[in-house]
Amino acid sequence: MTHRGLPCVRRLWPAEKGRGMASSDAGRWNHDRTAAGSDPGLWDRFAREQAGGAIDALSSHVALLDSTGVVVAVNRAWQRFGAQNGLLVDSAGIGRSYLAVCDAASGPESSEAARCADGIRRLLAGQIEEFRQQYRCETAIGPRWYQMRATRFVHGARTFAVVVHEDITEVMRAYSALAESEARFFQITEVIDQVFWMKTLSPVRVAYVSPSVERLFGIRPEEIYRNPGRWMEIVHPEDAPRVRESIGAWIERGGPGCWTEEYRVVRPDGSVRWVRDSAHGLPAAADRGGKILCGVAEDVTELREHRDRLEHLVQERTAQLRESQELLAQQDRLASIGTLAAGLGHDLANILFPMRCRLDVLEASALPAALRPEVDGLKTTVEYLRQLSAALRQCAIDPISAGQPRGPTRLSEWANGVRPLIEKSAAGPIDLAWEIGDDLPAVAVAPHQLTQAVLNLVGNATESIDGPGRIVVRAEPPRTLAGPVELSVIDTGCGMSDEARRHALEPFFTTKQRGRSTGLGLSLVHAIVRSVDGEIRIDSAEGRGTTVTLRLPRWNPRAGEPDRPPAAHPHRAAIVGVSLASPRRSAMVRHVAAAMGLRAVDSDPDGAEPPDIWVVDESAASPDAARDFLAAGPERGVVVFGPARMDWTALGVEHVGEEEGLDALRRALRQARRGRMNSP
Amino acid sequence: MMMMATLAKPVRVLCVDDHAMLLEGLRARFDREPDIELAGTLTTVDGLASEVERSGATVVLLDIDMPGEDVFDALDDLHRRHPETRAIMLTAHIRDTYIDSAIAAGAWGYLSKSDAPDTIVEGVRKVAAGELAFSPDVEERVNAARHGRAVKPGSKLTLLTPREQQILRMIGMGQGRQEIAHAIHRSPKTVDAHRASIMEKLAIHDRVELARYAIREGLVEV
Repeated sequence: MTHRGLPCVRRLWPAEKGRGMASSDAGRWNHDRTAAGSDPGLWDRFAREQAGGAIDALSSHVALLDSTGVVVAVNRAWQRFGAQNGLLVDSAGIGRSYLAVCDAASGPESSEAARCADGIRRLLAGQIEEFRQQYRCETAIGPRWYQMRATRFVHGARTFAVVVHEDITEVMRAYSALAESEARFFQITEVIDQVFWMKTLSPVRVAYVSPSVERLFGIRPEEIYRNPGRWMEIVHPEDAPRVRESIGAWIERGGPGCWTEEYRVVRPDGSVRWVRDSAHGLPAAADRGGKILCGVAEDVTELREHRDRLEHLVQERTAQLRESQELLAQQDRLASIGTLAAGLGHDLANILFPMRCRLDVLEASALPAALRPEVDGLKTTVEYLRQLSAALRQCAIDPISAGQPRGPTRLSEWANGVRPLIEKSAAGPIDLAWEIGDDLPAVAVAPHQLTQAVLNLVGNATESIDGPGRIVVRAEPPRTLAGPVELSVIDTGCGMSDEARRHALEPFFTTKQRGRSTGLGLSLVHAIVRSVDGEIRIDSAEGRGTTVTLRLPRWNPRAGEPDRPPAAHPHRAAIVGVSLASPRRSAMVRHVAAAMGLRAVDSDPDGAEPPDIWVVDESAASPDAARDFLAAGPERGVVVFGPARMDWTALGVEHVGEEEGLDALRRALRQARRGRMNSP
Repeated sequence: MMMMATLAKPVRVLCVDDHAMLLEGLRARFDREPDIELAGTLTTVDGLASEVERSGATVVLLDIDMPGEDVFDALDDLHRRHPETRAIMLTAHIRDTYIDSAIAAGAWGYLSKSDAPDTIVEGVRKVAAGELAFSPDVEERVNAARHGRAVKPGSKLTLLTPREQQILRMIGMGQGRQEIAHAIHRSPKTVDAHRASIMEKLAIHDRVELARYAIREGLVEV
C-alpha cells in the first residue's frame, strides 16, 4: 500500500501577514460572519442545532463548505493546525474557496489537488455521496499523513460539504512498519527450507503458505489457496487418518499449546518424504471470528534416516558391547578355569605317571589270567585320565610364550610331516583325504599347535562317523592379499544339533558318554586358534556332517619367510662330518642333521666318502684345515662350535655359540650348505 | 619301540622330583630293566652335583617345577662340574622357553610325564648311548624354526645363564617382578636376585636400560 502525498491544501492558503486569525471563542465552532455569502443567522442556528461544541472537541480538522466550495465554518482543530503551521489566514480560511485553492495548486502535488477538487465538486453535484483521499503534508513538526473525507449534506434548500482531515500519521507509520515487517517476513519465508502456513478455521481458508511448499513438496501455493484441503490430499494414505484425527482432536480441545505430528507426504513425482508439521493457535480479531492456526512444516526425511541409522548403530554397538562384555566375562571365567585346569592337569600328570609305571610292571608280571582284565581296565582308566591331564594342561595359555611369534608353518610341509600320525587317528573304514596345495602362504601358527588342533578335529570327525565315511583336511588360499588361510576338516558324520553347535566350543561340553570324551577337544582347538588371533567356524547339521574351519593368520612377511631346507642332492643326502670333542655336541649335530634329512657321520675329511659339511670345534681344528676342506669343493661348508674369531670368520664359515641351542645349529648347517652353493 | 641294551654295565640313573610317588613309580619301572639302575633320588636340585658324584649316576632325570634352587641354574652348574653326566628333563611342562633353557643348560633330552613309561626308559637308553632324546611333542617344537631368538656369538648375553636370559627377555617384554615370579614358579626374591646378577654381568644399572638392552639384542621382538 502506498501513500502519495496529497497537497496540503491548507499550506496553499496564502499567509496573510498582519491579519491574524479571527478570534474565536474557546470551544466555539468558528465562523466569519462577514464572509461574502454568509448568513449571520445560519451559524447560530447551526451551532444550536448541531452541538457545535462537540465538533470543536474533535481532533479531526473539520471544515464546512457551501455548495460553491467556499469555506463557511471550521472547527478549533482546523484553526489550531493553521496557527501551528503559520497559516495566518484570515478567519482560518473562512470565506475562501477551497476549490479555488486546489485548482491553483502547482508542482508535484497539483494532481492530487486536482483530484481533490474534482472529488468535492462531484460530491457537491450529488454525483457521489462521499470522497476520500489520503495525502502527505509537510508541517512544522515534520511530515504528517492525513486522510481527507468529504461528505455531503443538505439543509433545507442548501447543499453543504463537510470536509474532515484526520491525522493518520501514527496509523501510517504503523502500516509502514507493518509493511516493512511483512516484507521481511516474506523474504524469510521465501528462502527458508520450512513451509510456513497460516489458516483460518471459520471460514476454513489458507491465509498464507510460503513459496517453499512448491520446492519441497511439489505443489504450488495457488493450489492450496484455491483448495485448503489440497495439503491433506498429498498426505500418505496410511498416515492421513492419524493426522486428521490428531489435528482434529487438538482443535476441538481449543488448540492448546503446540500440535506436532510427523507423517509422510507423496509428492506429485511419486517420491515419499517425511514431514514434521507443528502448529500453534493464534487468537484472531473478533470481526474475523475463531482462531488462526499458524504452523511450520519441514522435510525431516534425511533427519529420520540419520536418526534411524544412528539408532541402528547404537543398537549394533550396544549388542557388540554386550557381546564383548559377555566375552570378557567368559574369558575371565575361562582364564580362571584355565589356570585351575592347568594346575590340575599338572598335578594329575605327576600322579598318573607312577601309576602307569606300576601298571607296566603288573602287565609284565606273571599275573593270574583272571586278573588280566582288571589290569586292562585300570590301564584304560589311566589312559583316559592321561588324556584329560594333557588336555587340562593346555587350557592355560603359556604366559611366557604369549607374544612370541608362532610359526611360520608351511601347510604342505607340515601335512607331509604329520600325515602318518593323523591318519592313525582316523582308523577304521574311514577315508582320510588331504587337499593342501604347495603354494599356500605360511601361517603364523606353531606346527605342534596345528598338529594338536587338527588331531582333535580329526578325532572328533572319526567319532562322529558310524561305519564307512570320509574325512577331508583341506586348505584354501587367502581370498584377499593379506587374508587368512582357511584350514578345514570336513566329515560325513552324524553332524551336530543346533544346541550342540552353540555349545561346542565350551570347555567340558560333550555329547558323548562321560569317560569317552573329556569335552575339551574343541575348546582347546578354539584356544589355540584364538591365541594366534585366528577364528574358528563350525558348519554342521544333524545327519549332514560337519565342517570345522580354522581361519589362520598369515605369517608376517616382515619377519621373513621361513628358510627353506636346501634342495636335496638328486642322488644322495648331504653328509655332515662331525669332529667334535663333546659327545653332547656330537649328539646335537646328529639329531639336527637327521631332522634335516642330512646324514651325520664321524668326520673323515680324507675318507672315501668325504662330507659336504664339516662340523668342528674352534679349539680343535685350525682355520687352515678348514680352508683346505672348503677349497676341495664348491658345495662344501664348515660349521664351527665356539666364539667367532676373525681368522675363522674370514673363511665364510658358520659359527654356533657355546650355549646356543638346536635352532642355532640348524641355521648354521643350513647356511653352510646354502652359502657354499650360492657362492661364485 | 624298545632299544636293546648294548652297554657293558647298567646305566645309573639319578631321579630328581618333588613327588615321592613319582620317584617310587620310576624305581618300580627301572627295576624291570636289566640295563638301568636307579642310583638314587632327590626331591630338590639342592646338592645335585654332590649327589651325582656320590651316587656315580651317569644320567640324571630332572623335573623342572620344584622348590629350592633354580633347576636350570643347577643344571648349568652340573654341566660345568660333571660334563660327562647327561641330564634329561622329565616334566609336565612342555614349553618352548623351558625347552630352550634346558638345551642351553646342557640337557640331553626333554621328556614329558604324559609319555608312556616305555618312552622314558627308551629315552634313558638313547642318552646313555650318546643320542638326544625328546618326547614326540617336544620333537616337533625342537625341529620348528624360531626367529630372532639366537644369541649372537660374542654378545654379552653369553655371560648370562639360560635362566637369566629368560628373565631378561621377560623384563624386555615389560613383565613385572610378580609376573615373572609367577611365570617361572619362583619367588619374587629369586627374581630380584637374578635381576641383580644380570645387571652386574651386563654392567647395566637400571631396569629401563635392561629392557632396552633386551630389545636391542633381539631377545624381544617389537
